Amino acid sequence: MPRVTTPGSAPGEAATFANTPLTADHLPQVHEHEFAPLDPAYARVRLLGAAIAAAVIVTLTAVAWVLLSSPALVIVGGVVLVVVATVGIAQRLETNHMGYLVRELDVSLRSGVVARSVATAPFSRVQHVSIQRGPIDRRYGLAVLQLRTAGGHITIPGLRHDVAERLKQMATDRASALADAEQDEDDPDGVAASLADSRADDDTDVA
Amino acid sequence: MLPDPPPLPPPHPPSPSDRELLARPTRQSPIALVFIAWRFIRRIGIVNIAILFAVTSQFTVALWVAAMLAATGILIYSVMSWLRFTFVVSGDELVLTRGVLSVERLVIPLDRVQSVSIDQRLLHRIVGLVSASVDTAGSSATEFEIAAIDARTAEALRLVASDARSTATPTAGTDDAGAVSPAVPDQVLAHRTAGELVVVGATRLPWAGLAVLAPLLAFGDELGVVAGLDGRLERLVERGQEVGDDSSIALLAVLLGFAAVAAVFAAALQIGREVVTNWQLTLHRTPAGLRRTAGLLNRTSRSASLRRVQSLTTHDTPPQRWLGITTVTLRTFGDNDIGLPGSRQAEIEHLRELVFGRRAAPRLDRRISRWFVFLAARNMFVAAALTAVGLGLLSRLGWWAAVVFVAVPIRTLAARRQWRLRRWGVDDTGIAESSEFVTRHAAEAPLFKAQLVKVTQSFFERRRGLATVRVNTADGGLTIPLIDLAEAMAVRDRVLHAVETDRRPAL
Repeated sequence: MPRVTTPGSAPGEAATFANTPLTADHLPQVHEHEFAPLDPAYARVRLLGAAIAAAVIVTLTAVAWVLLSSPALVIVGGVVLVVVATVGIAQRLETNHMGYLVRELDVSLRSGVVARSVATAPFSRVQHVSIQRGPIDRRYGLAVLQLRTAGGHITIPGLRHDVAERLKQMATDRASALADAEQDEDDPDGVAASLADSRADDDTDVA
Repeated sequence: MLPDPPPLPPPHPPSPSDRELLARPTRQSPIALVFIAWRFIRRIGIVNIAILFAVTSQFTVALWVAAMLAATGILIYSVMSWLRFTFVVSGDELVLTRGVLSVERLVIPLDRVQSVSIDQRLLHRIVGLVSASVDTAGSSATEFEIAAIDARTAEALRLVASDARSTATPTAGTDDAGAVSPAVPDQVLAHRTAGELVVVGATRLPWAGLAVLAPLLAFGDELGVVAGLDGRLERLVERGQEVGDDSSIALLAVLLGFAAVAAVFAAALQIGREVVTNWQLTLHRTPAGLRRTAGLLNRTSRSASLRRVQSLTTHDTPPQRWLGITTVTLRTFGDNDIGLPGSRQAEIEHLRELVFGRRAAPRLDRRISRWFVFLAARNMFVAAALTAVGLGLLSRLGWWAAVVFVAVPIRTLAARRQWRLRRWGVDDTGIAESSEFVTRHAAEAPLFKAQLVKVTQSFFERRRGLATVRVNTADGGLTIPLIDLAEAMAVRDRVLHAVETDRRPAL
C-alpha cells in the first residue's frame, strides 16, 4: 500500500494516504435495482419533435431557394438536416436508455447517451413538485414530472399522465411527512414546523 | 447527536422602548429618496440614458425638456414610493406596505424572520443612517430591504425579531430548546485586530493589486504619472550602453527594480484593502445564529442561522500555510456567506463544531485517477492544435503558429502537480475535498446537507470504468471527478443513507 504524507484539511496537519476501496455493501444501493423505462410513446414524442424541426428547416430552405435561387443554401439546409437526423437518432438511443427508479425515500433518474448520469433526490429534500404537459405530450397522454430541491432538480419526461400524478402525490406526501419528522437540534425555534407547512402549501399547484 | 452548545451569557431581551419605537408605522428617512431615485435610474440603465443623450444630441431643446420631464418623473416616483413605504410591528407580525401604482402589503410573522442584517455603506455613514435587510425562513433571497433608517430603529427591529424567534414554541422533540431560550446576547466567537489583518493582506497573492497596477504602467505615460520614472529608465539604459556589455545587465536591473516596486505597491494596496474592508471584523454567536460585522468605510453586518450553513470552505496561500492561518468561509443557503480571514486551527475546529457538530474535517485520504493528467494534456493539445491551424491559416505566422504547442508540456506539468495534490475523503457524516496549485482550496459538507446526488460518466470515463460524483447542497456543492465507478456509487449510497436517516433539517 503506498504511503504518502498529504496535506490534511487543516494547515500543518499530516494524514496518511491509504486508498482502500470504499465499502458500502451494508448500505442500500441504487444500482442494484432495476430502473423503470419511460413510456414507449415518449420515443414517438421525441421523434415528432425532431420531425417538426426538420420540416421547418426544409420549408425555410425551399422558400429561401425560391427567393434567392442560390445553390449554397441547399447545402446549408442539407447539413442542418443531417445534424437534426443525428440528434434524432441520439435522442432515440437516449430514450431507450433513460429510466427512473422510485425507492421508499428517494427518486433516481438515469439519462444521457454519450455522457451518462444517474441523479438521485431524496424525498426529504424535495421542496416543490410540478407536472408540465405540452401539446404533443397531451396528444400522447404523457406528462413531465419535475421534483425541485434547494440544490437542483430532477425532471422525468415521458411518464403516462396518471403515473405522473400518482408520483407527484406520493412525492408531496413523503416530503411533507418527512419535513414534519425533522427535528431542530441546534436551533431552538419552531421554524421547521412552519417550513413544513409552507412546503405542503407550495406543493399543491397543478399544471 | 450534537454536542452541548457553548455556555452563553445571560439574556438581554428588547426593552419596552424598542417595541414602542416599532409600534407606529415608520417611514424611511427622507435620505432614502436619494437611494430610491438612484435605484430607479439604475433600473433604467445608465447606459441607456447615455445612449439616448448621444443619439439625440442634435435636438438640444427637446433633449432638455425630455431630461426635465424624466427628472420630474423620477422625483415623483421617489417621493411616492417613499411615502408608501412603511413598516410596523403589530403584535407578533411585521407589516410592510410598499408600492407606487399597486400597493403591496407584506405580513411576516416575526418568528419567521431568520435574520435582520444591518449595513452601513459610506453614504449611510455620512448621514448617520443604516440599511436593514430582512431574511425569512423558506426563501433564499432577501425578503426586503429598508434602504435608510436610523440605527436605533434598525437595532430595535433586530432585537424584537430575534426575541420573537427564540421565544417561539419549540418544536416537539427538541430537548435543548429550553436551555438556550429566551434571548441571549451576543457572544464573540472571533475577532481580528488590525495587526492580524495586515498579516492576512500581506500573505495574500498580490494579483488584485497587480491588476490595478498594470493599466497604470501601461497608460501611465499618457497620464504623466510615471513620466519621471520613464526618463530615468532611458538615462539608465543609455548609461548601460556606454558601459558596453553591461547594458543588458543594467536593463535587467531596472526591470527587476520596476517589478519590485510594483510588487510592494500591490502588496500595500492589498493590505490597505484588507484592513479597510475587514476593520474590526467580529463574528458573534447570537440567539439567531451567527453574525459577522466588519468594515471601516462601509460597515456591514451579515447574519445566518446555524442551520443555513451548508458547507465550509478554506483557502490559503503558501505563506499563510507557513503561518498556520487560512480564510474560512461558511457557505449558507441564501446570499449571506460568512467569510473569516486569518483563522487558526482551533478557531476552525470550534466553528465546525458549532455548525456541523464535529471537530475534525473528514480525512482527506483518497485521490483521483491519474488519467486527470492525460485528460488535461489532451484537452490542451486539442486547443493548441485548433489555435495553431487557425493562426496558421488566418495570420502570416505560417509554421511559426506551431509555437502554441509549447503550452502542452506546461499544462501537463501543471496538471501533474494538481493531480498530486488533489485529495478527497468521505466518512460516516461528512465529505471533503481539496485542490492545490499555489493556493489551496478545500471544501467540506456534512452528508445530511445534500439535496441531490449525481453520478455521471463522460465517454472518456466510461471507457476506463471511472465516474464523477457530484453532491449538491443548497449553496453549491462538491464535485469529485475521475474516481472508480464503484467508489462513486458507494459515495452516492452513503450520502443518500445519511440524508435519509438523519432527521436534522438541512435548511
